Amino acid sequence: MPVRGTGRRYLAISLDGGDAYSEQEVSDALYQAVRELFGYFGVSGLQPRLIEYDEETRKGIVRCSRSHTREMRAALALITEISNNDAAVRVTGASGTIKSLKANAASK
Amino acid sequence: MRRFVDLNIRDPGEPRVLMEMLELASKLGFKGIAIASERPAPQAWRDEARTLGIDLASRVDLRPRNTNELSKALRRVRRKFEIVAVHCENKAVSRQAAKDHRVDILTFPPLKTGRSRVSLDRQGASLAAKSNCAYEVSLSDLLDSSADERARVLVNLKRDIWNAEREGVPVLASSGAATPLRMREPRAIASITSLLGISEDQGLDAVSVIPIKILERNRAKLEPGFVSPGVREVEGCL
Repeated sequence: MPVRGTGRRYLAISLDGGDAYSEQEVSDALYQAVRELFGYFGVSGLQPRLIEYDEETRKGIVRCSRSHTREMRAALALITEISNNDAAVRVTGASGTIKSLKANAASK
Repeated sequence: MRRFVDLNIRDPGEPRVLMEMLELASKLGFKGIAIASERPAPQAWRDEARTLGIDLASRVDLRPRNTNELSKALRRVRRKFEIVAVHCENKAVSRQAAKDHRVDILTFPPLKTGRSRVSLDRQGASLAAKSNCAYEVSLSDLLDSSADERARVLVNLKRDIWNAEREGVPVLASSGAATPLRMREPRAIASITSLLGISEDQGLDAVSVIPIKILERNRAKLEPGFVSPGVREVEGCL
């Protein structure tokens, strides 16, 4: 019998400011932002994860729980530095699947 | 489709940075911006913004120390700026500003400045609701505070918003950005309101419907034929 999985939401992000960041640095900043704002319990609820990040274009995809998309956006908005450099993370798109997220980004 | 407006972009002082901010605002999806400055936005800036698809407005932030200063400042600036915001740094000023119809936006310090923090209490909110003043949540209050202070800022903002909602004061959200790095997309600003107990629709209204209403109301007031709300001179009637 099929089992419905947990709903997920994919957010396309774009980084601004500072130097080029590695995928690990962005991922750490993401976890830290969620942990600072919502605590460890919040991390378990939001389930944030950096799915992919391109260091050249400074664009990436973040996955989170669908029911906590607003909280995830808030946590991303409050990121002001990555590895001690001033930075801003902006969400450029949101979708339920990576495929449609990429299709939307390509059509823009 | 919603039209998003950020009513609090601080004048960076350099025209080049301002243009960069306008371009970024357009890219982020804003259709309107209010520049907070000591002088009204020049027509050249407005024309430049229009080419980017942005409606530029001018805003002034008053920081009066007492009610006399507030009255004098309001007389001086009301007809020059589209948006008038008052930073309430003591209770007397906050009460007077909440009562005054010439004030559009009330802002409060996010943290204690003296012995106690001046906040939007229930009585102030009741006065503000009657005079149609809006309460502003600025993203910069959160971005400029440290991780420890952030919790206190959130508690204070939450309390103010609870009073505002209870008395029917419109709540608007803005970035308060002075540099391009502090600018965020409209939905990010709206999502911050989710931390303050505001529903998703109300959060989106705080960056679209409410600022647009304030801007339209004030532009109508600044038109030459305006007499009082609902009354204006019409040419060729007499």
